Amino acid sequence: MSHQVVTASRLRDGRAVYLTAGKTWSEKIAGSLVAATEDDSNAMLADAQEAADARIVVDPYLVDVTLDDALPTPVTMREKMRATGPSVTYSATQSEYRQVA
Amino acid sequence: MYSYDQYDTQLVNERVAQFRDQVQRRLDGRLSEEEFRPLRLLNGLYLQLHAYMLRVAVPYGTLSSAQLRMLAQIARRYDRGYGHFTTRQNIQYNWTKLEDAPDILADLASVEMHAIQTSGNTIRNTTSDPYAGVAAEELEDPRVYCEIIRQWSTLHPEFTFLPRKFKIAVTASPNDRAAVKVHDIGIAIRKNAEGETGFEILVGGGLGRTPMVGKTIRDFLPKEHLLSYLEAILRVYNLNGRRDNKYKARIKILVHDLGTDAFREQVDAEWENLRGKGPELPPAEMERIRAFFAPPEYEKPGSNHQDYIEKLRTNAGFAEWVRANVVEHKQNGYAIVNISLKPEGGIPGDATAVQMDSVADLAEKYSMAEIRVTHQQNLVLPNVRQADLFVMWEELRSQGLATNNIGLISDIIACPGLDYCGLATARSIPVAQRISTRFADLKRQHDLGELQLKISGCINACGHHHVGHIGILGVDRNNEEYYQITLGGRADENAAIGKIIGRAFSSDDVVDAVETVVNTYVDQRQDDERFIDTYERIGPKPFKEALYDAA
Repeated sequence: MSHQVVTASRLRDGRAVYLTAGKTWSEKIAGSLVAATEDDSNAMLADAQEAADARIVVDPYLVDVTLDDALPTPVTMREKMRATGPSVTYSATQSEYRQVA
Repeated sequence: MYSYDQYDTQLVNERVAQFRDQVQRRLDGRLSEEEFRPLRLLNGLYLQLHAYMLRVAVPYGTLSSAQLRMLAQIARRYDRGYGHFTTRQNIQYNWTKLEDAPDILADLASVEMHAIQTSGNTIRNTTSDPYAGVAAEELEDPRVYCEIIRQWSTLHPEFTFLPRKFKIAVTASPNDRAAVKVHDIGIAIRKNAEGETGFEILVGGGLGRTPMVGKTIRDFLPKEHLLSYLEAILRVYNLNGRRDNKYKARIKILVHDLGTDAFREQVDAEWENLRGKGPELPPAEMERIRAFFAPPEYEKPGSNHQDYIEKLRTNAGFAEWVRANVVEHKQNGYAIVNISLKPEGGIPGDATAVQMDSVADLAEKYSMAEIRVTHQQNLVLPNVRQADLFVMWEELRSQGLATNNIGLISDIIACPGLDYCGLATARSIPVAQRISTRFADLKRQHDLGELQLKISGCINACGHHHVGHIGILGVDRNNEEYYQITLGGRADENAAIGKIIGRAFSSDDVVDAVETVVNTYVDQRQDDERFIDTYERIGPKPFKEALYDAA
């Protein structure tokens, strides 16, 4: 089995979060608990479901990752984007785009 | 522009209070996510990849400066200082919080705005020509009918749970800038042989995974029957549209499966029951709505008009901007000004709070406090005196808002793609940015002329790639982004669905591929043919050869 982490959206603000070893939720995938067996994955998903029932997170699910120096990296493009945020700069930098005149 | 009456105000305020209560019940556990999801979607609140996304309706793309200022304030107060204008002439915020959503809706209500029916299987924001009311060649202001449709369709109890979402667009110009042929219902204001104005009604157009061009089911509908006829169409669809398969649930599938004539017969049979009864338009009510859109008091061109002519002659940068971004106004001495939200290397449709405030300021100073949002993801100031154009251009430049690329290759439509969207299969924005940068030379862009490039990050086609002269569709292939190119699409009065030119390109290769397509056009064009004209004359073969044979 490939390694897995559990992700969800935090209820109050919708941010992508990852289940940690302390059963808390981190915005950084680097701090997430990694399952190496199916039993681990199931146990983590059960913990996550409790957090969903407690209205901390919404829609938890398992994400396949590879380990790079113990750092989990998602396999799919979608989960990569979710873990790292938009790949584009935005917001305050937007008005600094070179003016074309 | 339209101003809320007591019913609009009450309806929107009650909706804010209702949603505030629903959010509270979700947060304290009285509502489950399953119960809550459809309720938040009815208020335009999506849960996307990174956060909640709130989509706010901009009715038929018309905004007052006060409304635009509020949109800026919301971006600053509740989001990350920017918003994204969409192809439905709406704005969406990418980083909102559930707990803030009721306050955002209350702020919107204070300027007569809301997020009702910006999601869900409902009648969505009716879109229109961004030059409505000011275009030189239009028959009359289509927003009168958009507003009537808005009032009829808002919280319409019969049409709150349609088989699928439903989009209506209205145009009143022979040059269709509202893409009416690729809407569930397209309405084109026409004159009949007797010289009366009425509506041509098209149905069954759409993009998504099954793109289709709409079919005309009525050449001329007298104005007073607008709502009864629309209601008849919606009833036939609501009853017979498929609910067993989400991908076959849009009205285009029903119209296609039944055939245009059989669909028309069903609508006409239903219309017999409604015509002259129920939701018809009393002339007095039509006139009441029309009065909101009465043309403003225009000034006669003054003596400083000569200054404008002189500036055009002496300032090449200004003249180029006017040529690309300024459009003829129906009123002598006035102009329609496009503000490009596609700076070189920028994110199509994004505007910062600072830029929104700047545009609101400019609208107040120079455009009778009115702004339009275009489905091309740009902004428009519809009522600018020609005499003010030069000073306004200088102000736009100082805000980085004077990019003179309207209708050119870098004026790209792009969906949010996998950078934000939970449905996307590939990124759109970085591809748009790289194309915009590759073709940064505006002289080259102007030489290429009108060229509509549209990018979608998945088959749902929010980036309208099917109707781009050059369309790009992002797909996932074994966890890598690939991009399929379609050519020959168009969204105008001669709407056509583009054809896939061949196998997809990797992310590394797609910009080169676009350049190859563009260079092929340059090699093949005759005189001042546009890209689409050349493509339609020579067909896909030369493009295919240039893209694939060399390899």
